Amino acid sequence: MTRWGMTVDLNRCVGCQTCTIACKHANATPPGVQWRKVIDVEMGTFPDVQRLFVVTGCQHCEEPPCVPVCPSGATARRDDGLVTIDYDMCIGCASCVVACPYQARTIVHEKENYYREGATAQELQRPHTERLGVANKCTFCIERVDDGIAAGLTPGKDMDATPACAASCIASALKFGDYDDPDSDVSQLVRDNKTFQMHEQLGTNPRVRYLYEVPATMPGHTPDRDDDAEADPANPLVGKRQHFWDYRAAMNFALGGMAAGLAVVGWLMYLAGFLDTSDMQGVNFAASGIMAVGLFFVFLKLGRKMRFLYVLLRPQTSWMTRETYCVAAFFPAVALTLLAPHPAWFAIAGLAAAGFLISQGQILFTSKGIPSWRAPQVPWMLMATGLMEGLGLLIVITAVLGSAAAANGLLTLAGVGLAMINAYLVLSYKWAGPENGIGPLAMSDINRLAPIIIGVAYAVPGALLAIASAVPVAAIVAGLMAAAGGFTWKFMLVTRICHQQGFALPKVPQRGSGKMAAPARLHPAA
Amino acid sequence: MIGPFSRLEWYLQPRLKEQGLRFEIPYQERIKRHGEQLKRRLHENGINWWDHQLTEYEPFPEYERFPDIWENYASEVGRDPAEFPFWAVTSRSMQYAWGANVGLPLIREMAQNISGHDGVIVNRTRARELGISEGDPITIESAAGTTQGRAHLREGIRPDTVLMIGQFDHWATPLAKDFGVASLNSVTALSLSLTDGTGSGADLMRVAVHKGHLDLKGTDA
Repeated sequence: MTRWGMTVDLNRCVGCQTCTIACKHANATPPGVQWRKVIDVEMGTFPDVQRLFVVTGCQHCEEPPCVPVCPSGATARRDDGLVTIDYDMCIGCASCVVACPYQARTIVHEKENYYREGATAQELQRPHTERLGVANKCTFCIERVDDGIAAGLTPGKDMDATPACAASCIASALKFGDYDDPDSDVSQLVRDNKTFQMHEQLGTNPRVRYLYEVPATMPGHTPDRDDDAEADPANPLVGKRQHFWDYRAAMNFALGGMAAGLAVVGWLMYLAGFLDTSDMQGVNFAASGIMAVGLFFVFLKLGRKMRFLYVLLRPQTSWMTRETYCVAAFFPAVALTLLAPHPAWFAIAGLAAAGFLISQGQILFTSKGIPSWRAPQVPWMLMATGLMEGLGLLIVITAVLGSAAAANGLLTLAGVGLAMINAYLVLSYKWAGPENGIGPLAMSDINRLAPIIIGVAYAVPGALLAIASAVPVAAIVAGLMAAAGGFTWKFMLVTRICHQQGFALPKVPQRGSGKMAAPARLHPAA
Repeated sequence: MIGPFSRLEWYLQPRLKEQGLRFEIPYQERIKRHGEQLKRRLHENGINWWDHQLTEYEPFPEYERFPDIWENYASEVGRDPAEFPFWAVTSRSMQYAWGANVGLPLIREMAQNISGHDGVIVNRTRARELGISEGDPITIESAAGTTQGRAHLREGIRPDTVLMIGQFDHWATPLAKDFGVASLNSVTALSLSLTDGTGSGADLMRVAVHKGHLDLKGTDA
């Protein structure tokens, strides 16, 4: 077997960016895209400071979080360990981009050149239009590796068969090779030195290992925790807000979840006998309309819209695929409930809506690149708020329809219960945030927003629902507030509380001055 | 890609050995000799200022308060040295090296990965005392001129020092002329008192750091 991988020696990298340029040249990546990137990191406070350069890029994980979330199967992992993207299959949904905890992936939608005046010879010759609107990332120079092997070369030993970054490294800081070959550079380096994998705790098992010590002289050390630095947006280690899922994706979560909640709560009330068939037809009609608007927005966000049907290709792992299957069941079922009402159609619509709601929670939860989305409360929060918003809308719709269900005691009681559950979930999401690995930047957004959301979307509506039997109009106000509040919460969660996982160095070389300085050598030179 | 490359092509020493050459002695007496010759020619024309510079080149230099040279400069031009509490320094950029690639947007993009290519590096704690945050526009003022850029806050710099990488203000070529970064060149003075015995000088200046892009009067920048 072959297991391609890389080692990065933090002691050897001088931050020259030759690998960055070699990568851009070898892969003809467009402006702003750096599959291989070296960041300039500083640790400590003056005068005890150390500076080091960290090579980043796709880690070609053994357990890549980008693969299971891909709805089309475009992202896959080869037997030799290379994580690949089929540009002809990718729909550009960016699920993999937000799933990657190493900021390795990006999507470019429009062809850009480096010079305003026009394309250079290189840009003309290698326009790579197949990469527009689809996910892309470091391939470990897959063509160089494959072509090299075909020509009888050994990647890692023969530079023509080695990824451009490792082949060009002026400091021998980057090495490429086969981890299954005990004689390869990478195997020897990992055997003879201490190494770490970035974000090991996420279970991704990256095939890039970082070396951090000079054997026998400088042991490396665990850096001090620095809260100030972790809250500094200018720190290259700190993740910034993702922008790949913008308002268009947010609309699907905000409206789709609400619509699915409406369909589910409506169906439950129908089963309980509080909604008659014609009320339920109205509820489903409204739910399908709202959901369609959300889906339209998310369709607009796809990088390759004409390939949208490929979203159906990976139900075995992708929650986006599963969500789409739920959509595919929901709309025909709603149409049937309108044309030929039957309890079975209502049941299919209700169950599909429930599946849709669950899928949405899981889509965010499996986005491992965003710590504030992969928190364990998130899928529950999305389901609970969807139901609460749906219940709110149901009250408003049934009131408009003049249905008796509007003032139904069971509905208001369920509303009070849901309000409490939601408030608890948001609170526990906030409290457990730091423990869940949510960084200070996202936490400050959560701390600012959560109390407002709890008040507007859950606490006040819950209180109003509690008095709804005495003051009927209170239920309507509560319903509108719950829907608007829940909408806002999810919208903010997708577009604001969405900081990417940063980079982390559990160990760093021992160098610098003062506290950072290397300890005295055990055997000083005579 | 870069293949095997003989060490002989990289290092001077093997070549020196091969050709039987020896290293130049540290005290470059020819500089002193040329200086003396220059002094005589200048004296013939009634010019005497070079005499002072010439005393600076010594085989075994005497201690001198070198910072005074720059600190006192402000008084020479009628300003108060206390107005300029910072040292401004510069450094080369590994990414730009000799600057021949300064017109390549690709290099510009990649150089941004290294701190200071888009701003003036200021000590974080000191910047905060001055009310300056990351990315804030700042003006660097010396008794000789001003330059403007954005603050980039780092720990790895002395609190009394600011660093401006490269000298990108003199480019008139496309792209580089629009970098909009601060440059030490704009705040240094062409002054005899800052000129040393080799006719050169250190890349240093005493400066003030102001928040905002200010239009400062009495400066020639």
